[in-house]
Amino acid sequence: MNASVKSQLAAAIELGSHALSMKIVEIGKNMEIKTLESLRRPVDLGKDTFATGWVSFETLVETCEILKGFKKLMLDYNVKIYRAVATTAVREARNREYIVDQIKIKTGLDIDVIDNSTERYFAYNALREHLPNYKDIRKEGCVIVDIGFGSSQVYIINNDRLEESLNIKLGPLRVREILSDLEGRTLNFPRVLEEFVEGKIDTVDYFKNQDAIKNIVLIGGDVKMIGKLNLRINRDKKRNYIMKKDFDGLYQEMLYKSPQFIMKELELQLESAEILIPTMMIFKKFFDKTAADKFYTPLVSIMDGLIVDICRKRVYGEERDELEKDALTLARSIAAKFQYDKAHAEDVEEKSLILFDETRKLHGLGKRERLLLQLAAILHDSGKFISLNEHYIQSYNIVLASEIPGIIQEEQKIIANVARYHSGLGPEISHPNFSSLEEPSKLIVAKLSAIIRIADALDRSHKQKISEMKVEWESSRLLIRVVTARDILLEEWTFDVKAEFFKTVFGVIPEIKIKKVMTNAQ
Amino acid sequence: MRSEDYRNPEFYINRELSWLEFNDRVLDEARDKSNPLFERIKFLAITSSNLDEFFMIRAASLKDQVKAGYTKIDISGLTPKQQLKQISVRTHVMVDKQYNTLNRSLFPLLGKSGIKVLPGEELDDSQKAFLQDYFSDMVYPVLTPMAVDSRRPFPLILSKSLNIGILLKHSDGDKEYMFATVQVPAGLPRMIELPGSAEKNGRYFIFLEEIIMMFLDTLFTGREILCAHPYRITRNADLTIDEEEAEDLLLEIEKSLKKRNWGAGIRLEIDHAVDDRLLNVLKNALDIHKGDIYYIKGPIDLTFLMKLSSMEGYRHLKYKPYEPQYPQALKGEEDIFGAIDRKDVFVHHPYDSFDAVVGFIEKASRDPDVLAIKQTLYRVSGNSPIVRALEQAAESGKQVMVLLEVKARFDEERNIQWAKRLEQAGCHVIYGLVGLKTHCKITLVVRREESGIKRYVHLGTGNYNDITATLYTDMGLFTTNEYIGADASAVFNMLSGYSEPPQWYKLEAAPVGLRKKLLSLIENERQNALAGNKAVIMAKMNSLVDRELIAALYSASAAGVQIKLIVRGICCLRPGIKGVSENITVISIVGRFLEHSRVNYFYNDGREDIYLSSADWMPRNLDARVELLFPVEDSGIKDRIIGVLEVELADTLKARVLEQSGKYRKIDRRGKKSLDSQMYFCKLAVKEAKAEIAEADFPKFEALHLEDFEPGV
Repeated sequence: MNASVKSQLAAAIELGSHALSMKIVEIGKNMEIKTLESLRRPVDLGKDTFATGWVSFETLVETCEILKGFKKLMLDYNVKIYRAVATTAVREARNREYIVDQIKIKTGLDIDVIDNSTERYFAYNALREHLPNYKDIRKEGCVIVDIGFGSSQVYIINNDRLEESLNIKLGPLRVREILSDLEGRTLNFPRVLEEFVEGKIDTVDYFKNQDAIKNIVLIGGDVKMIGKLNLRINRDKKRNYIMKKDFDGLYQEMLYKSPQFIMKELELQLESAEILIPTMMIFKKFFDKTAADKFYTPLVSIMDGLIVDICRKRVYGEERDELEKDALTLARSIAAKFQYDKAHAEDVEEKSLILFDETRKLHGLGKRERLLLQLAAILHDSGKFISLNEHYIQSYNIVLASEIPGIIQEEQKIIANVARYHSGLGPEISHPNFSSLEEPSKLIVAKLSAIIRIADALDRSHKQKISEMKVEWESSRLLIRVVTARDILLEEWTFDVKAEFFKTVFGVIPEIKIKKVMTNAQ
Repeated sequence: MRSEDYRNPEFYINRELSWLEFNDRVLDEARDKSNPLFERIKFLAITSSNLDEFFMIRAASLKDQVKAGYTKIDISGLTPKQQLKQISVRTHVMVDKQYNTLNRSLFPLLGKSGIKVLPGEELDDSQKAFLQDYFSDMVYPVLTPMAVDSRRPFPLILSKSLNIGILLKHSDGDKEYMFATVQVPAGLPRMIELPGSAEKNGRYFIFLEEIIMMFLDTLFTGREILCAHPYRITRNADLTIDEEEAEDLLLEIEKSLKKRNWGAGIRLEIDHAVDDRLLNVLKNALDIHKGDIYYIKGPIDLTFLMKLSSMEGYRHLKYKPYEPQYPQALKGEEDIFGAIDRKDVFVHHPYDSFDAVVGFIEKASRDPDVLAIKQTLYRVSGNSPIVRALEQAAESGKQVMVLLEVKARFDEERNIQWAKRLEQAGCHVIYGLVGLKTHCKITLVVRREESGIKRYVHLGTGNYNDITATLYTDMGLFTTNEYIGADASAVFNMLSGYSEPPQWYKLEAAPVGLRKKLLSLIENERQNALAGNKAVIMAKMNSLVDRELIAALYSASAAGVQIKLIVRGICCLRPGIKGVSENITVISIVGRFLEHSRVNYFYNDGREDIYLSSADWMPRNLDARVELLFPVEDSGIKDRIIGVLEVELADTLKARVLEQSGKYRKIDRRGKKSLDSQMYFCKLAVKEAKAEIAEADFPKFEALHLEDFEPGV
């Protein structure tokens, strides 16, 4: 950031399932974030959506009124930079476009409807700014458990690298609902709950094989509840962690208590009190699998993540954010799990990116699509682990089944499709995987596939024969100049085949120009 | 003793009776010969308007309860009916004392000072001639006499209006007489000055109702007047609004204001010499119980004395004017923001001038770096410089949010006008939360500075009213403390309805946490006492009514906590009960200024915590209002506030001690220096203002010793 610039102000708004929230922050010269305003106003958007599939007109009017107030508060500080997101309740509402439109008309605010994985990733993303020793524990290794309402996200980080990102369909609300029938049939309901949770978690490979991890962090959808938990255990001591013995003690104390009792004891709202025990139980199972004697409770919300995001991208203009880095390392670790040809994948990745960067005026795509291409390149051959026959179809399935942090569902589909079409036939509308894409995505898939096919062709033999590649435009001719010391007939031939599809998409036929060099190694 | 045992009704004083004792202490000020004459008159006027309000609100509510068949006992064990009875007994004694004071002391003293009120029969010819003209030119045109007969029902008599009831001889038919009534016009002065005459010195006045009665026959030409007597009815004014139904609070209050005059009759004041037949007519028509009739030996409705006491030219009969001093810490400060940022600034009104607060808001309205100003307004003065500053700020493009509490009793009409004006200027006016009056006093100024956003907060115990700030004792704190700043923002977000209350850093707010906080502070002190440590609570407030808090104080007292309370008005706590409240003393200070600040002191094992607040210890404040409690953390300011409490507790002239019986007695001055705490603070402020002080720091409280003090300014 420019040193002459004073601090910057930014706002983050979340339209959650139970409440509308906003934070206004001041971002200092050294990226320090100071919260100026923090608002939370309960509005039951979720109740509407989950019961009827629609957000009612009344709720929408109320929402707009409150958002107008938020906007006014932004004006108080003259905040220009903001990001407003809507999560599950709006995402799953059948009138979601109408909601977003009405909010725009009535308040002028642009709302992004984000999907589950992005939503989860924002909290994770905020950790760097909100957990003081985050860097150290990432190096030492840590498990981050994000307990949502219906599912939990677990991140495993070792040596500062995100190694696993797992979504487990195990959330306190879901657990309660699934087992609610049982509640009346046994006196020892908590024991049943425990067994159920245990059964789910034990399937996670990572905990079976690895040495116990030293650190664990709890974040969650119900941030307020975690805050109260901390307050109840640490009383006046302001700590961002809870000791294991205190946690276990409170767990035992509360295990057989009614939600009403818990509500009073921890000063929670009933909805939060009801899911306290399932939340503690799920977390405890992960906790017990680590070697940690305490867990961190940094109380980060989606809004904190949004702010960190704004802070990095819009204020500091960081080229690549943490999020992208994590996505890439995770993609590599997935590919590694499927024993990919690392050298080939890296070669395709590199060449794809060169092609992408040099043909911008052809495709007109941006940074985000570049990332999708890169991820597709990393994962394009992972399907070979399952079957060499039509491996690209397996690659497609693997990508779809993976959890890549910060990648929304539609983007995940794009990556999968690009991996699918890197080889074999090009996209066709008769393919359900392609036809189910949104219209703009289809175009992106076509363009990125055209690029990756060329890049893949240039290492057809998986031997990285081409040592250098340059892309040049000569008037309207697209020349791919490659340098090699070896015979690349196979690559040349494949190139010509794949160039056809490139032409179909871009109307330009790339031409390969080969420069032979002699090296001693040959 | 178990905690519920502290709820024994015998340990509590009924709040209405306690209030009447407060009014009696004000009346004592009217009787205190050491007060200047005009001030005594003013005190008497205050007792009268106080009683009006008391009847309209408190007595009326009890009446409603009786009518509704509600028999639940209050904390002192009295049913509504029993309370009304005791109120009636106590008030009748008080009204006699009021008129004794007026007739035996104040009117004679006024006469000696050259102000005479003449009865009709003592007028000379020139005065009579003057009145003849005055009546026909000024009075007659605005009179509306109304007679009652079979075709004309008894008219609605406006609450608190002065009327003359008349019996006319019936011209025909079987009835002996007929009733007529005429309202004494409220638009004309109650006291009319008469032209002087050569042989009489001084100024002469006559009451408007006397003039009307002199010329009554012009209103009822050809009818024989049997008798005529002034009377006044007071009606139920408790205004309850169905807010859930009320789409627009503003409209609702406007409607309700119009209704206020037509509540049920709850008190009849009537000339003591009233004709029985006339009295019967009124009694029946107004449905007044005999215990609610007050026979008045003198002019009904003493609020006219307020006007009299403000007459020009009698400075020698009033308090010597006190010039509030500009606070030391801000004196000569060009940069008021810088001064506040360097160090928290404390102001003690009216000793310290309210100009500091007005100046702060005015400065903020002009300062180019200020982004936003947010303020709560409860009672605003007639021509409020604060409102003007806010308008100016909005007009110059700043974000201004004003919470205007339109439900402030008796000020609703004025506040609605202000709301409209502020909105026109572009302020964002909000009206508070449904069901809760906003009583907290807080101002937030958001300023963009070199180092980033900075929040300046003023928190006070009294309203942002420049007029009452010269009459009420209140405390205020300016600070840039980050936590208080964040809490202040949250207060406004809560009031605007954009957010639920957060976890507070420093503040506590009613209705959610304030009561709990006070209880835990009291409990903490109790624990310290039980552990054998020194434990002291000092608290100052306007009213102490809340049973839960009183019981907590009893429990603390029983554990050995020394509790010293300064409660100006109602106090339901009964001190001196063995095993319950023997460690509690309660004093009340009633003097020149209205004691209004709310201060809480807890010894806390030597840490000496101080909290200021907008809240009295009453259920309505703690459960049905938005109130704030804020800590004072600067050690210099803490010392100063502790000093204030100590001086007030040492007051021997204007303090009264509450006895176990519920009565108040004067301080036994034997062996003690005379001390009028309010005068002491005046002197202290002046002395400090004059003193040449090298450091910018506020001088230590010890600057003036109690021994230096001479009574009377």
